Amino acid sequence: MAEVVLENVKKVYGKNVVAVQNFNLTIKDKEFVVFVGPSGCGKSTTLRMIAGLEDISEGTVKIGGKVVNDLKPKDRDVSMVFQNYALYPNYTIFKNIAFPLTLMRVPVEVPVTDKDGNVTGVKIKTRKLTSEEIANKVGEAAEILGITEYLGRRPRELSGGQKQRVAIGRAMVKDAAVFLLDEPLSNLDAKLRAQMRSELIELRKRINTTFIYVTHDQVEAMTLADRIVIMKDGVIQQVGTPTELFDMPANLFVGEFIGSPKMNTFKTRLERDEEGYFVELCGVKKRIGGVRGEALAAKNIEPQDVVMGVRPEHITLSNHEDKEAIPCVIGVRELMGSSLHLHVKTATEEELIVCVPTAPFTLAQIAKLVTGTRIYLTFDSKSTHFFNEETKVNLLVEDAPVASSEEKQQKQEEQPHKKWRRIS
Amino acid sequence: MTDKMFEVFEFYPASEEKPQEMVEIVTGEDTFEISAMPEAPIADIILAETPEVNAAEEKKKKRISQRTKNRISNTIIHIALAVMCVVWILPFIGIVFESFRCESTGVVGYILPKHWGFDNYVRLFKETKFPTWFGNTLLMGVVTAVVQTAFQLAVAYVLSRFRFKGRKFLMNLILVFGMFPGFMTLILLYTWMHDWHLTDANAPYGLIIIYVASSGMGYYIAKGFFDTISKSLDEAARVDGATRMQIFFKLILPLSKPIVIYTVLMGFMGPWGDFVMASFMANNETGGYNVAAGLQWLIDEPAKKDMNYTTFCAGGVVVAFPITVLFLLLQKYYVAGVTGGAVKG
Amino acid sequence: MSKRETMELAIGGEMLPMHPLLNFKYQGERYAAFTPADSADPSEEGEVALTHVTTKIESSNGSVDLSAIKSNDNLERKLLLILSTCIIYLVLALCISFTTLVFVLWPKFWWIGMMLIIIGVVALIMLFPLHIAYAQLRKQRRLQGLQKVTCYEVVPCEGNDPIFAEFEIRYQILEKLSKNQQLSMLEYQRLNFRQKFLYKLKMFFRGIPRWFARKFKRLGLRLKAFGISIWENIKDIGRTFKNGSWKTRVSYLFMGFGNLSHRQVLRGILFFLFEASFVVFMVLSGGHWLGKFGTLGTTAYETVYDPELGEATIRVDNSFKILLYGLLTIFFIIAFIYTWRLNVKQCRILDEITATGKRVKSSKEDIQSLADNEFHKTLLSLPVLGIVMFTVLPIIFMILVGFTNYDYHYDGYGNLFTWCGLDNFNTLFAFGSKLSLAFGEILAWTLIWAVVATFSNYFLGMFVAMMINKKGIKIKKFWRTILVMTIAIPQFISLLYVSNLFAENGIVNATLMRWGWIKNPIPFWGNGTLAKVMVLVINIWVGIPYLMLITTGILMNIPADLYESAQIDGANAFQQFCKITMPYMLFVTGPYLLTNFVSNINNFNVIYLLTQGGPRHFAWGEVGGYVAGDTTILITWLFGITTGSEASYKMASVIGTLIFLVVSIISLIVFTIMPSTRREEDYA
Repeated sequence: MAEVVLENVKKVYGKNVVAVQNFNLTIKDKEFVVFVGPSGCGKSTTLRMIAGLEDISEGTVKIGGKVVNDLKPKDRDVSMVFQNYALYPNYTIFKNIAFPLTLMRVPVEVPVTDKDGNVTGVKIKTRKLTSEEIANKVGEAAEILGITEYLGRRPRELSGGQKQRVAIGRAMVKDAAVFLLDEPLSNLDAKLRAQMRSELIELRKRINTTFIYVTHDQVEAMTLADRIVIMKDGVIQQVGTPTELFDMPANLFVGEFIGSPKMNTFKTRLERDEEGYFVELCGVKKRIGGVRGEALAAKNIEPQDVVMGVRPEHITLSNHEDKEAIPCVIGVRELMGSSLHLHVKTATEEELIVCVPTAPFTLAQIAKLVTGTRIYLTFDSKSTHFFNEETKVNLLVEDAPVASSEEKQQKQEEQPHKKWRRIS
Repeated sequence: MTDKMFEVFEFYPASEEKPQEMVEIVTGEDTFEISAMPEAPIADIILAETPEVNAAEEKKKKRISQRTKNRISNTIIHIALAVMCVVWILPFIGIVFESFRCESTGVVGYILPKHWGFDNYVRLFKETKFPTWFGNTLLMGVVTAVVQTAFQLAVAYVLSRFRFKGRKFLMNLILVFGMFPGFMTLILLYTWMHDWHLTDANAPYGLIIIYVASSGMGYYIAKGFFDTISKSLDEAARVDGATRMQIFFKLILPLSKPIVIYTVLMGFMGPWGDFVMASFMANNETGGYNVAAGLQWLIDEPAKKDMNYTTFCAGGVVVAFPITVLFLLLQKYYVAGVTGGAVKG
Repeated sequence: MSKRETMELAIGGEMLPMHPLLNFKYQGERYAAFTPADSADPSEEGEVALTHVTTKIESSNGSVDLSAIKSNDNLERKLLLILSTCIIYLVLALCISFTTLVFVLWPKFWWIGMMLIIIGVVALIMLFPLHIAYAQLRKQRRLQGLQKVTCYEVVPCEGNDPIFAEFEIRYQILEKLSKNQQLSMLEYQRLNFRQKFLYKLKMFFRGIPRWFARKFKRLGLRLKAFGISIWENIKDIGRTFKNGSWKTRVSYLFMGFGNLSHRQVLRGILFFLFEASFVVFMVLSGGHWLGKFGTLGTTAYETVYDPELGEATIRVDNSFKILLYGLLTIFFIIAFIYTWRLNVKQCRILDEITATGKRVKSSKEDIQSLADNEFHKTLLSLPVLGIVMFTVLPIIFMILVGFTNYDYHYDGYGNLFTWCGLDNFNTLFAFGSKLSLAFGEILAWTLIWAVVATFSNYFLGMFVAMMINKKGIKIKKFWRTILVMTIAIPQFISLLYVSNLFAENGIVNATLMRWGWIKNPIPFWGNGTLAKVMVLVINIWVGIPYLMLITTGILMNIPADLYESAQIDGANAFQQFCKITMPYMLFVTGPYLLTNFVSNINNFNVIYLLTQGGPRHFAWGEVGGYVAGDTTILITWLFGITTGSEASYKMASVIGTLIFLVVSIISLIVFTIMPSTRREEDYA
């Protein structure tokens, strides 16, 4: 079992610089978890705490049920891939990959005999690996990664992608329970990054162990992860599958972080009348009905000042007959090939981004969508997200984390914990 | 914003799309099924109560032993370093004590003087030719520092930046001839200087010429430093219209302040420690000695040693003091020169 | 039609480049082919060999008659020729060696004999690559049943004019001779330690002859290139004379004329002045010095009649001056030849420029370019002049002195000295003499001293740097400053004091006796072995701060994630040191270690100030009035001989030259072995 459990993990530098706090997470065996967030949010620190390269100020980390707070990195059964590859420059690639194997000791059973020569039991001793075993393992890893012909070379002779593969190979051969990756693709160029991403997915199928991956790129997070942990300022903002994060962001930060281009936000007020909820948006009254409206009613959300978020992909073009359409003028347009990104300005001087797929349109129509054209925008209420204006929390999420840590702590003290039990 | 100013684009979608059910949220008391976020602070598994009490204690014990291990080793290292520092400084403390000893002037078997006093210093300045030596060395130091720096920086810059025919030849020439011991040429240089009347009492002038003439051979450190300055700086300046001379004096030299100061420091300190050439050039004419040769001359025979040992120590203190102070002040540059240039090779 | 396109080799439909043993002629042009791996040595890869050649030549009007095909066994003959030459060479070398062995009976020249034997052995080793290549070739062919290699020369028949030709050659690919070939990487790594070691040993010895052959080949090529460049220069001189204008031809005699006639006033004047000064010098004194150079003076005194003083003896010849100024004259002559050649080249360039009608550089432009494009000349002029006059010239002079008998007695002034060939070297190396014994011991101690001093300082300095650098140590700057301060204090003060510290009546002995630990003073400087140990220990005291500085800088530059990765892979602190820190440090400080080693060989201060050469060994006899001792190293000996009561400058020169030889050989070897000269980018 290679389950990783972090309980109340906190990291403090010096006296009062808090890097990570209130970190609680359970990573299941063979799960691919991605820590994502802006620079300085504490994701690398957490990873290094799991690896054993940083001391844990408070809290416990358990790997496979065993508390590893005080164990050295080599005893934690983890392997790590570094951002800068960390290949030993004076060793050949073979030696680089074989390095952990040369230090590894495997148990071997030694029969214990008594005076008469009868075997009474077995003693477990450890031995080092033989050259043959090492060579076999390295050969296998090299085959999987496609670097067999480089085994005799030195790191300086390889390109970035190849070096990254070697680093992965070195981590692979240990057959560790947990595989840690610290921004491994950050140093590669864009095309190579995309290629390595798909290779990582392939690799994951072959190795099938627990992966913990740190990145600042939300595209990597969305494509690779089983579950994503978004962090900001040392606090977990949300944990969930990519779909969950995309469809139901717990707070405004998550909503804006995930998805490219960024979610459009409106400061407005959620009102309720006898028909249901509505918002006053850019001079247009937009009724919130459907699923959203029912959900809001079910939770009996009070009218309040909110930040409403709508993703650019969910905004569609409309016409003047639509009473709830928002009229605006196109400012800048970016042709992305399969879609058109329009930066528009509404009558109320709000700036939005709209993602319009080019497929449904004819070329003549697309040609018309240029700077200065007036268009009408609309969106379905099911794609709206409402965040409380002060706490920035999604109204439909109970006890969701706030974007800032102090408020969060206050919230925690106010409300008692609700324990959730997972079904299945 | 009128209709007349801007074109209007209106989109009439081909078909209406039915709204889909995306998320079902059913809240209940104990159980819920949610495909959305679980609450972040607590994981979505009820954790059984683990016997944490004993584990916590063991953890504590382990933590203590790890940290104390670290602390013990650090303390040992601190002690070792302190001992080392004492051992290194000890001879100098000894010299200082010796210089204040008044009861005898030879070598004795104890460190602390019985009678303290400035006799040795007085004797140093009055009875020996120490002021002359000091003046000589000061003159040599200053002139050497200036000229040697000029030569070394010039050679280092040229070899670093220019590629000309004969560059490899020059570098190999300097390398090969640098492998010869410096003393081989003593007799010839002495004869030359003698012919030019720059020996004996005029030895300092002859020595200056000898020091600076071949100083270009010691260009390695400066060259290593110049190599680290990006060539694109030169190229940008050339595009802007500067001549190479202007680039050297106005651009590169100001950037190389550490190495310039290092070279000046080395050039200045050189003559203070050289006793071989100095005594050879002066050829028993003590007026032409520098401090090193002079002080060494004071105790080169056992009889003289008995008489002048403490004076020698006093002289040592007088010489070492300003040099050490200078060195400490410019320590930063010395370190920069040694680590930056010496190791790039 | 391009040559390559028509050569298509089909092996089972696959196109392969051709074997080097195959070359053929087509339409009067010779074709050669190359192995896939571009290696010139066919024995390195197990690859194709020729079994069966079919040629099919088609032209637009029918096939070519194949009867015109001849074969010649060129390659085979070539190999045999080379082999026989080598055998002759070998025999020659052996003869020389035997002859010199005879000379050994006359001990005077035994060391020449040694050198020649070494040359003979080296020549022997040089033959190995050819032998191996030939052996492998034969083996290959034996395996296939081929007896000889055939080359085809295709000559088209009369009447037929092939427009294109298509050669189809079938190869039979040899099986890899895996037993004798190199193992692949993975196969090699599968072996256990002992097997790996034996394999590496075998590969090393197999590689030696190839290594030698490559080095000598490179040397030969460079010599050839040098010779060619000289020849080209001579040809150019002749050509310029033939093709040049009358101005150029006049320049051959009056340097600078060409420049002046093209209005390059500055250059012309400079050239002319140079020539004038040279001529004047040669006429006035140069000839005189050169004439006497061969004998270094014959008459010391001469009696002349001076009207005022009556009879007086004046000095005539001064060997010292003759040697010195003769050398200067030779230098001057070389410089003149070079300048004259420069002059000729410039005339030729000027002719070419005026022929094309372009403008020549004026003097003003010359001066301006001195600050710009030719700035290096400006900067280098004084330093290089200083180096040549005060280092190059004196050293060559002193090397020459080693071949004379210049010493205290024969000082060239009253008593002339003269050439004496290799006598000095013989005295030094004379088998069994006291002097050679002394020399041997001093040389051995010098090397031991240099090695121990360098490496002890290096490792201890690194250790101290690591200690200070460790996490958790406070006031790092303070420790470093204290240690670095000790570099500032001049060595002659501290070392002289330390030497007196350990003297028989010094503080250490007195204190130890006072405490009752010893009864009699320990002869720190009196006992040979003890003195050697003391010198090494005190050298550590002197050297550690410096080494600590250097290693600190590098230690801080090792990327931290190397250590972290090793931590995760399971290395403890010691393993991290051995596998990460040490290789990195050795790589970066490799060149520095070498220079440190060389400077330790020439480290005069420490030994002289502490022991003046150590407890003297009077049994070794005296040289130049100086008696060497236990802690004497070559440089101390040199100094003693130069400044001793009966200075023997000739021996000093010999020793100096020997120091140079030792240092340069060691530098050369280490330089070629060291990886840092090859793999700089690993650690960039």
